[in-house]
Amino acid sequence: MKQLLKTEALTKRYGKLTAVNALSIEIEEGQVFGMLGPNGSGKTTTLGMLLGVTEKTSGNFSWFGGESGPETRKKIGAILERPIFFPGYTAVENLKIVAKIKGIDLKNMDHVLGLVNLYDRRNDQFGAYSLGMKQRLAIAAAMLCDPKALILDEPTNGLDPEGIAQIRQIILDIAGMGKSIILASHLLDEVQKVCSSCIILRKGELVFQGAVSADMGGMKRVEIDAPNREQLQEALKEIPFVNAIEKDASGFLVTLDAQQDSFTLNKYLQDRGMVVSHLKTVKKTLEEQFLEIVKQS
Amino acid sequence: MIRLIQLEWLKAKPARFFWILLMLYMALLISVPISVQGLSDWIIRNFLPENLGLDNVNLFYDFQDIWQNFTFVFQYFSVFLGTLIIIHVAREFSLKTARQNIIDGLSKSEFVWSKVLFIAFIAALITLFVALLALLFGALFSPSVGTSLMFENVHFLGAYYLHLVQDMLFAMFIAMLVRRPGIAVVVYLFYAWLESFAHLVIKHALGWDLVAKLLPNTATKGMIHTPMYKYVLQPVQTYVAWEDLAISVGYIGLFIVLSMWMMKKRDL
Ligand SMILES: Nc1ncnc2c1ncn2[C@@H]1O[C@H](COP(=O)(O)OP(=O)(O)OP(=O)(O)O)[C@@H](O)[C@H]1O
Ligand SMILES: [Mg+2]
Repeated sequence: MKQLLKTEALTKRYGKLTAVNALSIEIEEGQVFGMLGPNGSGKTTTLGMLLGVTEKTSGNFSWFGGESGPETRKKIGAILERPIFFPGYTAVENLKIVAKIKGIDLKNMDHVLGLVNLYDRRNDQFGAYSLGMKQRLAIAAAMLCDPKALILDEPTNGLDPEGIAQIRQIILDIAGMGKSIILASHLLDEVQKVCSSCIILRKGELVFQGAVSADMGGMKRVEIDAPNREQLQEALKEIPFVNAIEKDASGFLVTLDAQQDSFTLNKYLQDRGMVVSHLKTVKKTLEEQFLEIVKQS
Repeated sequence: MIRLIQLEWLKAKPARFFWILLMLYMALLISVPISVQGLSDWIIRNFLPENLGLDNVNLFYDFQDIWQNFTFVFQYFSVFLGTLIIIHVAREFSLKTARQNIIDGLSKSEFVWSKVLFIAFIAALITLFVALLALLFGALFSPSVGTSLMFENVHFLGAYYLHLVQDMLFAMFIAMLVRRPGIAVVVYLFYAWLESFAHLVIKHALGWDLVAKLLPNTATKGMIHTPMYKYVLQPVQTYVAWEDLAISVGYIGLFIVLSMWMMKKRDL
């Protein structure tokens, strides 16, 4: 697999505040990569450095296995934070400016306007667009140069469920064309639905990097029940690798150490003469894992 | 280079303020010779005895002198072009389009150069317009006509061009410094007032002629000396001094360097 992006100890300080601290990551081409983190964790700052609008304090980065600078940015389509265009100009007038900067002709314009469903509104002023249309126009602008990589920072920010679904479908369509996408968001749901792997940032620190479906938290949770619940609860309390016990509708929800699983739990109970009526490993939602990761570190 | 000028054109063309200020400026330029003509007719008709043969206000259009007369008066309208440039540049920061331009692949120095080239281009168009205006009014009203005379003092157009470029680059610099269109316009106008005040103090109260001459707004108007005194028979400098040109060119370089430096240093 070819490398899309590599950063080495990339750092940005605003006075005393370290917005991004020694970030080192590698991203491969051809995937939808998530960049997750709560508000203020440094996502936009990181992307700003990668896109030449925020001066880095120290560290390095390179695109496509060793490039950076304006010529590289011409091969990338990117939106940071919110769609930016001249409000009084039409979509077409705005896209002409983008095309001129990127040094490309306009043959792709109708196609990208169609892609985001704005072809019929192309001669309306940007300022008169709804928020969802503005976001879509930004995606069209990013796609205008047939980019090698697409960078989207909170593309669904402020949209209603329908708008979110539309943007998500567009992202999936674009990913289907084999483009690399970096998607920054504080919405886990969003990352979970479209990304294959991700990083999680917290206060400018990298706290997780890996596949989205993998066990991110390093802990397992198991649903368990038995005819005699008091007895079960007593027994669970005795078990050293059980970290937490919560009561729920179908019995108990217990959190195990990472090395243990439902099999070892069942065996442990059986050895002590306890028979269970229900036993199920719960896959944690990314939301729970995310909160756990962010809380822990 | 062509690409950068085309880029600025795409940015300016759909903007209403751009056309309004440009048209206003051109209308003001045209109004000067027209009102001078009207005024001279009116004076001659009402106040001078007939057959005096003294068509003296037509001297305003006299070839040779017309270049200095026109460009000297026109300099006083440049504030409209400065305002145009301030809005054109500063709004790119308040709307954040400058940031998006960089993201899209423009380099920061290209961003500045495209503005500089655009200014040079607009200044050239306006200088051409002034040349046509002077030729037209000269051909119509000049007491003395003849190709050798006609272009004698045409070099005032060069000084006028430098004046326009320096003035607009100063406006660009203020816009990049302040970044908010409204405030930048206020700063620009306030500075002009402040400098004219400072100029009085420095030149007349302190008597530091050289320092007064080096102030930017004074320098930009200092290349073309006031021609009107000749009508009351005072000596007038009817050429452009090299040192005055050099000062203007120096400021042009300085504003470009400072703008470039600010652009590179600051986040967008
Ligand atoms: N221009 C700036 N000056 C000072 N501090 C800044 C500046 N820009 C960002 N910061 C700080 O850097 C930190 C990271 O901000 P950043 O915008 O990168 O967060 P984010 O992850 O994109 O958050 P969000 O999800 O809210 O968009 C924050 O603490 C923020 O206050
Ligand atoms: Mg952000």
